[in-house]
Amino acid sequence: MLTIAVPKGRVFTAAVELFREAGLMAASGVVGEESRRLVIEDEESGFRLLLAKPWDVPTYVEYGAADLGLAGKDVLLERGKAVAELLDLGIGRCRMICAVPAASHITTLTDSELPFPFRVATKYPQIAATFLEHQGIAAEIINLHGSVELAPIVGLADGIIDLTETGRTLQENGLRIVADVVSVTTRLVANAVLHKVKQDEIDQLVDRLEIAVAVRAATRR
Amino acid sequence: MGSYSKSEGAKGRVLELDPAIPYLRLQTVPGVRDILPGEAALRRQLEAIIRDTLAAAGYQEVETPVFEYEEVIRAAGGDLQDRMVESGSSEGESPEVYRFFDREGHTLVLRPDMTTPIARLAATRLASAPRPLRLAYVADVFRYEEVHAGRQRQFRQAGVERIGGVREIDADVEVLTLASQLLARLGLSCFRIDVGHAELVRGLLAAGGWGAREARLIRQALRRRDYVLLRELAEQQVDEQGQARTATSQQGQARAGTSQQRQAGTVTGRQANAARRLLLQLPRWRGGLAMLETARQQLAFLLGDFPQLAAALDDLEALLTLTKEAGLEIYERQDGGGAAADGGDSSATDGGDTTSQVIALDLGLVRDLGYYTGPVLEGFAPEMGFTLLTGGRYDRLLEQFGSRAEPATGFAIGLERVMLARERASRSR
Repeated sequence: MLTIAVPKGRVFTAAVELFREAGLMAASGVVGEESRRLVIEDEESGFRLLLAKPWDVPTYVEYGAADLGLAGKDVLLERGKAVAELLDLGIGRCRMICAVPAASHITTLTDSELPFPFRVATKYPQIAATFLEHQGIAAEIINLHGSVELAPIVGLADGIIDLTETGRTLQENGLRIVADVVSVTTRLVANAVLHKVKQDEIDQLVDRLEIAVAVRAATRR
Repeated sequence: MGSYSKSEGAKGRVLELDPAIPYLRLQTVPGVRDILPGEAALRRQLEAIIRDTLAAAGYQEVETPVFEYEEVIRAAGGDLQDRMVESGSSEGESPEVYRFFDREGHTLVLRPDMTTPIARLAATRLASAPRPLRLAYVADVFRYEEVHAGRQRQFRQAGVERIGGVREIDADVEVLTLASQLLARLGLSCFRIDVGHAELVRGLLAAGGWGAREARLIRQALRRRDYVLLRELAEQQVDEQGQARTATSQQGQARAGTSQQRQAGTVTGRQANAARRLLLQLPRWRGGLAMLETARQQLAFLLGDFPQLAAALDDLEALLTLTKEAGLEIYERQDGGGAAADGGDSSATDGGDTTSQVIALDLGLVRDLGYYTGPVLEGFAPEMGFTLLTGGRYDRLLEQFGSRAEPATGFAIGLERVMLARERASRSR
């Protein structure tokens, strides 16, 4: 039985769908997210699912409490966890972007346009710092834990670095994208040692998922 | 923490500390700890077993100073941070050493491992001692790392270094056998030591026709076990002239052109593509002698042009065969393992515990290619999420101390991790 740490929410649903397409889970029936239980043992598929917060998935995997995990690339980049990254599942797709108020005169991230210091509010201080350094921009990073769009509205920050999927939240809060930071998807990660101990099971899982992901990519075109 | 009276605690003011006593006075620094009599006794017991076992194998214990000049530690060179990494996973970017300064302005460091100090010793005071030199140690080492997942900043390592002497593979067999013996004697009924080879990965990197920068990125991806990035980097196929065939073809051609120059035209497109495919599969190459045979077949057409690959495979075959003869159990997969075994039912028996006390090959094992020059070792217990033992051959270290080049190999175990593994094992019974 493999233990997989999965984030609650949309990724959970998308993941179950993918697992079904890969023939890893029963084609129907609810893999219960309805109850308040945090551990779901699915005898039939042979998985034990741990429902964790997205930020915590890599921690469970790193400590070996879970063999595998479904972690967003944003979390992996931000936290730099020591886990093996096995596969890009192609779900949970979104972009990390830099946005400023629509009314701002800033159009691109070039020094001349930016105020000094350029205050950026973000949930991802590491990613933001690395990105801005690469751009050669001196910035002050303000670490917030949610509703980052609020910061520029009340003048706490000049811009934000945050995830966006459709762009609607940004638009509704009067923000305009000025740069792309990185594209994000959910990855299958594994504990480095358990990956070796349970190699056959995990390799088989990866193979099947890889096929399902490829099929999806092909049919999308 | 801090001193507070129980009655105050009962009133709900538990966290109030006595302002007369500096808060730090009552703390130990994060990452280090006190060891109380019970645990201390157990440690002495285990250390006694370690000392006995290593001495019986002809290894003599030495001690080196707790702090050294930074230049000494820098002798290890290569991907220095990798060598510092004890567990199999790559931990963050650069594990730090504890640095301080003496009055003359020299930078001193607390030793992050024992291999380099012992190399210094072997090259200086023990320069004329007879070879092979068999040295052992039980010592604390220090690494200024993030404290989580069992990592401490001060921890005890026990290990050996075998320096000098002639026939190399015998040394590797001796060290591997001793490592296995030691883990067993320390009460671990279940463990596995994986063996890889630095030249295998280097050879494939050379055969792949990559430029220096790309090769570095690929090595890093392998080391970090970022197989998604590895796929992206290595998937790029080349055409017959070894030019990268990509959308950004101009860029690719410029890069490939340079790498062609570097390879002096020895990499054909076909070879490069095959090497790339094999590199991608490397993490799947786990198993025993049967798997090695499969690997040899798959690499066959590269062996002529890239002798380091042949040498690596020969080394591994000899290592496993001789180790088997010495009585150790070699892991064999049902299907012969490796990437060639697709389809079919390759699942091991219970899918869970695939270890007892075994040696196995893991061709994807990449530990500091700038440092190791031959077989590399990584030992772990199934209960744990991290490794217990690291080691390998490092033939280029001794010459960094000005002595003649000497072959060297060794291993180190983490005492605390061994204790943790023992504890977990006994709990799960």
